[in-house]
Formats: sequence, C-alpha cells, structure tokens
Amino acid sequence: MDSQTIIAFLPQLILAAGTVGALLLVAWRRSQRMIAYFTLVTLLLTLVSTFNGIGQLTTAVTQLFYVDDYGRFALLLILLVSICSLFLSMQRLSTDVEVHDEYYLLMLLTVLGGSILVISDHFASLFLGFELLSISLVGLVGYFRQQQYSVESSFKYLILSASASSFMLLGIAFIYAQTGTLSFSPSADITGVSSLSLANNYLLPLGFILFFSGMAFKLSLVPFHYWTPDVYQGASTPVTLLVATVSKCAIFVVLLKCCFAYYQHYMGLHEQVFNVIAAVAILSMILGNSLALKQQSIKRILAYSSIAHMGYLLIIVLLNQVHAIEMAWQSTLFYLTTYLIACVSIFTVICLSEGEQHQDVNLADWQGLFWHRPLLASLVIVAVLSFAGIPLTAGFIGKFYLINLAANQAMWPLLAALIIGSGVALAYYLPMVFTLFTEQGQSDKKYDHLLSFGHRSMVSLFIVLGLLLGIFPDVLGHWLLEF
Amino acid sequence: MLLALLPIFPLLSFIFLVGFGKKLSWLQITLSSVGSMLICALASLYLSYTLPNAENGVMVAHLWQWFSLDNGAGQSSVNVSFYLDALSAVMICVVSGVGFLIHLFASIYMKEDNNFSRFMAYMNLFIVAMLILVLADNLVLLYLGWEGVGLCSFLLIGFWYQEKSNVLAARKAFIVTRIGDTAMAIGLFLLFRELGTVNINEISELATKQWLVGSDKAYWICLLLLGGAVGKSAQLPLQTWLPDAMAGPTPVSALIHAATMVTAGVYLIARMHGLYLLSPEVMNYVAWVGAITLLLAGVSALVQTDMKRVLAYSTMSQIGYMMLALGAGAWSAGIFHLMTHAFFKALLFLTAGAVIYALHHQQNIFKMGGLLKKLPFESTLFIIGLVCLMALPGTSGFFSKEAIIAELWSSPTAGATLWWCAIVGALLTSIYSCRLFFLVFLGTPRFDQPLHASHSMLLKGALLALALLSLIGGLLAPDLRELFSIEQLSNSNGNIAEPAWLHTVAIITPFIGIAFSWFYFANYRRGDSNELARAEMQISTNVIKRLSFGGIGFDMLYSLLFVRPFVGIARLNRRDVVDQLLMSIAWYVRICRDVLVFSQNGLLRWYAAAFAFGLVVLIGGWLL
Repeated sequence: MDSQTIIAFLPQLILAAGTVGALLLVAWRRSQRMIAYFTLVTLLLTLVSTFNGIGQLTTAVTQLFYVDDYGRFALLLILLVSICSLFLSMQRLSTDVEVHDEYYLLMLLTVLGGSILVISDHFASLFLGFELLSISLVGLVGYFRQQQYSVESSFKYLILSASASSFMLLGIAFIYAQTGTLSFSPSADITGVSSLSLANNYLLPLGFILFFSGMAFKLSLVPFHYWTPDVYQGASTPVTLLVATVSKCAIFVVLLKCCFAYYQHYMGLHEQVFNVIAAVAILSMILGNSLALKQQSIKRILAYSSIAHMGYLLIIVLLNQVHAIEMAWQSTLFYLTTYLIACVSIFTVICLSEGEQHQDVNLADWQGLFWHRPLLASLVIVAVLSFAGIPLTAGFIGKFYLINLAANQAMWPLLAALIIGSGVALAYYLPMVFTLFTEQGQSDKKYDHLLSFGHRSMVSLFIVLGLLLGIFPDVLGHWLLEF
Repeated sequence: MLLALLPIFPLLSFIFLVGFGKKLSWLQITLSSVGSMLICALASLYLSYTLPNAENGVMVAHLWQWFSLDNGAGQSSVNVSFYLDALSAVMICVVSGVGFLIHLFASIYMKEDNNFSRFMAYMNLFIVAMLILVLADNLVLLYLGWEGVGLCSFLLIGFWYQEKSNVLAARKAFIVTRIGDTAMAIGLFLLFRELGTVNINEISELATKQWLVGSDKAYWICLLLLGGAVGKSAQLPLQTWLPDAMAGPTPVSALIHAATMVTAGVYLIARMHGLYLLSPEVMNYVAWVGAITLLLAGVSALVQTDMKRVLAYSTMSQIGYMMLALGAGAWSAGIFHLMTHAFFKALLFLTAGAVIYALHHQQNIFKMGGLLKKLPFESTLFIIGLVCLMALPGTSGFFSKEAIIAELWSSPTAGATLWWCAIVGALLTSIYSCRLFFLVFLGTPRFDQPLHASHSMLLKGALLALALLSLIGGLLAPDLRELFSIEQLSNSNGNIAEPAWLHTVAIITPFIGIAFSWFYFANYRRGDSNELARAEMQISTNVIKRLSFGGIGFDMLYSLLFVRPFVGIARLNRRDVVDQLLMSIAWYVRICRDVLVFSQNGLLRWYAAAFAFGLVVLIGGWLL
C-alpha cells in the first residue's frame, strides 16, 4: 500500500482504530463521559479526514474497495448524522445511573459498517459492511431493554435481517456462479466470457433479484418493509435516527454503485429485472404513504414515510443510460442530504419532547407545540414540509431532481406513482403541522425544562439548513456536479 | 437618482406603518404617511421642472434587471427601470401632488377610525403602485403597478369590511377589473410574441417598422389593450364597478376612484399611442366607447340620490371625454383633461366628504339642502369644483374640455357625430351639476341633527390648495405636443371644413344647461318638501328613472347573462364531479390503508412469511 491509498482509506482506518481504542478504554476505566467524548473525537477525526479527501483522486484500495467522491460525500453525510445522533444519545444516557459504554462502541461499529459499505467495490466487502451494520444495529435497537418493545423489536430485526442476509448471500452466489467474479467492476476478460451466455441466462437475473431483495429489506421497501414501524417505535430515538439515516444512506449508495456497475457490464441484465425493481418502487411509494395515514405515533408515521421515500429514490436505480450517471449521482446525493437533514431535524424534536420515561411520542403530545416552543415547532414545520416536498424547503429540490430524471427517461408509471404518493403523503404530513397550532395543549407541563444553548443553536442550524438548500440549491448542487 | 427614489418614499412609509401600525400615535402615522407623500410630491415637481434640461427631454433610472425572456432570437431583458418623459411627468405630478393633498385630508378625516394606520398604509402602497405604473419603461413592470393599484383599490373599497355591502362592492370591483386585466395580459403576450420585447419605446419603434397602418395584429393587440383600459377606467362595457366602489372611505374615492387609478386606462392608451396610430379602427372604437360612456353616465348621474354616486357617474363621464379625446387622436388634450379632472374631481369628492362628515354620514342628497348658509366654506369650494366640472369659461375644466371638443370635428377617427355627443354630454354635465347643487346647498334644510363641521386647518388647507389648482389648472397646460407630434395622424382625407359656429356652441352649452336647470329644477331650488318627496319616489316608480338610477341596467344585464348562469352552474355542480373523482382516490387510499393495517400486526412469524411470500411473488412476476 502506498501513501495515497492509505490516505484514501484513512477514514475507515481511523474508525476501526477508534473502535479498538474504545474497547481498550472500556477495559481500562468505565466512564460514560470519557467514552462519549472519545467517540466524538473519533468521529470528528474521521470527518476531517473524509472532508480532506473530497476532490482528490479516486483510488482503488485492494480489490475490495474503490474510493471516489460519491462515496466520500456519502460518508460525510453518515458521519454528520452520527454526530447528531451521538449528541442526542449523550443527553439520553446522561440521565441514567448505569454506565453505558457498550452503547458507544456499538455506535462506532455501525458507522464503521456504513463507511465500509459506501466505498465497497466487491461483494465480499459489501457483505462485511452489511453485517457489521446489521449486527451492531440489532444491539443498539435492543439496548434499552427495560423499555417497552425494545427487546421484541430487536429480535424482529435480528431474525428478519438474518433471513435477508441469507437471501442476499444466495443471490451473490448465483451471480458468482455466472460471472466468475465478486468484484463490481470485473476486468475485461471475464466480462467477455460471461456476456456471451447472457441471452438465455436465468441464474444471473435471479441472483440479482435475490441480492436486491436483501438490500430492499434494509431500505424497507415493499414487500420487505414489515419490520420498519415496529423497529422505529421500539428503538430509542437516537437509535431510530441511526436506523433511518446511516443504514439507509449507506445501503442505498452501495446498491446504486452495484447496479450501475452491473448495467455497464451486463447490458442484457437490466431489461429483465427492471420491471421487478419498478414494481417494488411503485408499491413502496403508494403503500408506504397509505399506511402512514391515521397513525398516531410519530415514529410510526416516519417509518412509513421512509418506505415511500426509499421508493422515490429507487427511480434512480432504474436509470439505464450510462451518460446520465453523473446526473443520477448528483440527484441521489442531493436527495439523501435533504432527507437526512429532515430526519435529523424531526428526530431531534422527538428526542427533546420525550417525557422522563421516554415513552413513544404521539401526535397528541405535539398539540399546541408552536405556542410553547416556537423554535422546535418551526423546525418540525420545516422538516415536515421538506419531507412533503413543498417549495422553498430542501425536500422540494430533492424531489424535483427525481421528477426531472424520471421525466427525462420517460418513466411515466413511476412518475405517476410518485405524484399520487406525494399527494397521499400530504394527508398525513399536513395534519402534523396543523397539530402544532391547535390550541388545547393538555401537555403544558411537559415542556417546562428549558432548552440549553446547544440545543437551541442546533435546532436553529437545522432550520437554516433546511431552508437554505431549498432557496439556494446550487450551493450543494454545483458542488456535487464537480465530483 | 431622485427618480429611482420616487416610489421608495411611500414604500418605506408603508413598511413602517405595516410593521408598527397599532403601536403608533396619530401624529406618528400622519408624519410618516403624509410626510413621505410631501417629499414625493416635491421630488416630482422638481423632476418635472428639470426634465426639459435633460437629454432628449427624457430621464431614465435603471435599477436592476428583473428577469429575462427568451424571444427566439435572443434574450430580452425585463428591467425594473423608470422612464420619465413629459407624459409620465404630468402623471407623477398629478399622482403625488393630488395624492399628497388627499393624504393630508385623509389624516384628519379618518382620525377617529380604529384602523387609521392600516388605512394610511394602504394609501401609501397605492401611491407606490401608481408611481410604478406611470414610470415603468416596460409593459411587465407597468402591469405590476396595474395589478398593484387594483389590489389597493380592492383593499380600500372593502376597508370597512365589517359591513357586507362594502365587501361585495370590493369584490365586484376586483372581479370586473380583472376581466379587463386578463384581456390586457393576453394583449401583452401577443405583443411579446410578435415583437419580442416588452419595452414600451422598442415596441413603438418596432411596431411602426413592421406593421402597416390597419394591420390585423395591431388591431387585435390594440383591442385587447383597450379591454384592460376600459376595465380600469370604468368605461363601457366594464363600467359597473365604479359606482359601487363609493363604498370606500371618501378620501379613497377621491384618490383612487376619481383622480388617479381610474385614469390609468387613459394613460395606458396614451402611452401606447404609437401602436394605436397603426389601427385607426380601434381608435374609432375608443372614441365611441368614450362617447357612449359619457352619455350613459351623464344620464345616470341625473337621477342619483347618493352624493358620492353622482360624483362617481360624473367621473365615468369625464373619463369618457378623455377616451373620446384619445380616440380622436387628441392625445395632448386628453392628458390635459386628465390632469384638470384630477384637480377638480378630487376637490369635489373631498368637499363632499367634508359635507357628509358634517351631516353625520348622511349621503342622501334629498335629505340635505340649505347648506349654503350653514357651511359657507365647503359650499364655496364645492361651487368652484362644479364650475370647473361644467367647464365654465376661465376655469381649468374649460380649457381642457374645449381643447378636446375643438379637435373632434376634424379628426379622421372621430367626426361630427362624436362632436355632437360631446356637446350633449356637456349639457348633461351642467344639468346634473346644477341638480346636485340645488339639492344640497339651496332650499330648506331637511335634516334634524346639528352639524358638526371639522375646523381643522390642515383639512381646509388641503381643500383650498385643490380649489386653487382647479381654478388656475388651465394655465398649467402640459406641453406634450412634441411627444405626440411625430406620430400625428396624417389627415388623409384633407382638412374637413369646420363650421364657424362650433366654438360658440361649445362655450354656450353649459350655460344652456344652467338656464334649463334653473327652471326645470325650480322645486329643488326652493326646497319644496312635497315636490322633493315626490321626486324621490319617482326614482323608484318611473321606469326610465329607475333604469337610469341603476346605471342603465347594465348590472341587471350582467347579472342575468353571467352571474346567474355561473352561480346556477356552480350550484348544480355543488357536489363537484371532478371533486368526486378525486375523492374516490382518497377513498381507495383509505380502503387500501385499512386492508394493509392488518398486515402490520406485529407478529414475527407473519412478517417472515410475508417476506418470503413477497420474494416469491417478485420472482414469479419476473419469470412471467
């Protein structure tokens, strides 16, 4: 390994070293504060090294990884979200007597898993990252075992995730059997051999579908979405934030990489699986949004809405023109950014409005929030409108990118589903906003504790970010185009 | 650049008033709104004074590029930039000068109102929009001001929104003018499609180069722009909103519905005269629209019982004169009349406001009478206003109206018939003016409550200034000949011989009207209460009078033709078909959700089974 490779791989190295260091730290002295700050420092260091890397050359790190700017940017997003989640966790854990150092360890592992996924270029590394992410998340979801549903949802996640992994492994095996390589970008000679037998090849598409369904499970796409609401509700809020953001962002980025590589190399493949993926996308958009109607628990609403959002994003996977790939990446990363900002915003508010017992937050708990906590309510408004894709918020631009792509590729059924889905979505997003303004808040007492300066600045920052990207999308859009 | 700042002063005041509104005292609000108008008026005067020294007699203030349009051959930029020539100079002086005096009056008149700051804020906003309208160098910016004044008019007519009739009047004004605006917008789009620019000067240049006189395109565009103009200026067939607009506070009627906004249509046509010259037919229509409106409105004014409505119909009729002048190609005379009309009509409205104020908001002229002795100051001013309106020799109205009438006979787009219309109109004007005067100021008092006239010096000062302007306004005749001379209509069919008696007839007409009224309205003059009661009764019993009272039945006609069918269709389709279709989507979604909720039952084995089943379905679907 030369120095350039090491620098390209540095973020992952720092994370791995940080994980080991955290383990040692636990052995040395059990202090919650110490390990929390150690985790924070690790994440910040990784952030700095990732940020430095953006704009530098793309580098292959062994056969397994391929570091490019898309991956770096996705990692940047993951790290930023993890840091937010870390802050929320610190607040959540500080009220407990127990020392929760394993929690931070698991968090580091989750981020490591995500960071491996976004740069992986090989099914082996993909599987490695996938499992790191899953298993540590299982630990995190079930971490607060005294909480209602916590262990239950953790088990659901574990078992379903394991079956998804097995499907995926089978799919990978089929793909390997047909192509003879596990790398996403196989060298020319192997391609030449396998492309001959693609015409009547059933195993390769079958393998691809199996592989896709494993990924779809993580992205909670219909029909693999069943776990989502239960896990969202059962996990404590900072963990839900990780499930909603880190896991989905990393998985989607690697799925896109894999798909684009495959379209490039096995042109015959995509024709056959396209319809399957399109069906999954359409079902996710419509069923996800329909399910969210009439829900009371905010986390469940967000779970269902995340199904729909991943369905929207799937439009990009269906892009089959090689020359549009840059545009596709720009759209993906922009959409993920806006989605992540909105997620972090709304989960922050959920965290801050949870009671002492950390019960599930219902819509009723937010009644009249605007009159008690205008700042928090404003953040909710911006986030929800962003989810709904209302102009002047970041979400609108994200959705606009998607619609633009879909229209350019003439994917009319998907476009129609997107529009219907967005329409249905308004039926549960807008009531969330209305709730904030209703007068009779029975829960006046709940918001007695003042927001600290840190919280207030964080909340204001997210409001500004959500609006800034909506009003000046070029700030991010142009930057993404340079990759 | 002072020019660029002109609309900024009232805008700042507007923002200030809207921002702090309720917290301010009367003095602060007045200082802000009236003060900004004073600065604005002084600046306008200064600008107009220095204008002849400017290069080509034109000042331009380019502020920024608003947006740019792709016209096929390249980008055509739409700028926020102001263009001041002799025409717009007249307009800004009228708008800000008369506007200032009316603001001054309003600050006293509306003092007791709870929403005083809101009122003054709207008035300021109106001035902003009006200044933008007259200063715009392109039609899009002009349209912005056009819609802006429409909005302010709507807000101010419905200012006392607690009463339903006011709100209805505001709505009517808004909707009716909107019809004209739509026509104008379409005309604007057509212009852009044909010429690729929206800049007014470029349009005039290109149009004269590209189109011949009488070309189809010019015809349609002029006709559509005329649609906008008749809407805003309350001309036939969109005149019905103006009388109802009197529901607003009196200063509003004076400022918006007499002096400034309603003349926007006249301004638009004068501004686009280069285009209209290419289409003599439309100019002929303009003249006819003006003539018919002026006659109909004059007849309606004869039987009104509400003091402000008399003035409203009189406004319509006077704008009819302006239109007639424009149609006849007497651009300069039309604008001159616009200016003098702004002076004396503002005076009339404000004095009427003062009278109505003194009579505890009694507006029915049959319940007034004998005010000449009780309110000598107001009476004198009102007489001055009426004299100007009747165009008795020596007053400002005389100069401008004679200027119009003088050009009608020999104009190729007007002619003898229209000349006679104008003369009959002048006769009507003097008759309804006399009737109004007799009923309000002569005879015996027909009211019980004691008068409480306002003695504020500010109020009187504003009225006096307007009276002075009305009297000497004739000397301020703007010299616009240079502006309009280049495109003067070529008198193709030679000079039509003008009979020598034309001028004599025109000058004598008002006196005939006065003499006629003196005898015909003798009862009104003497204040015979029985006769008066009978006359008032007749308005509702006599068919012709009733028809005239309701504005010659246009309201009824429109109600029959458009409003009722529309409301009927709306009622028929109360359970909207499209809505039902949309609701069916919602219904399906709800069903879908209800079914799906069962799938989300929290049982792990069910989830795993569904997971596997889903995969099988996917693979099955792919294989098929």
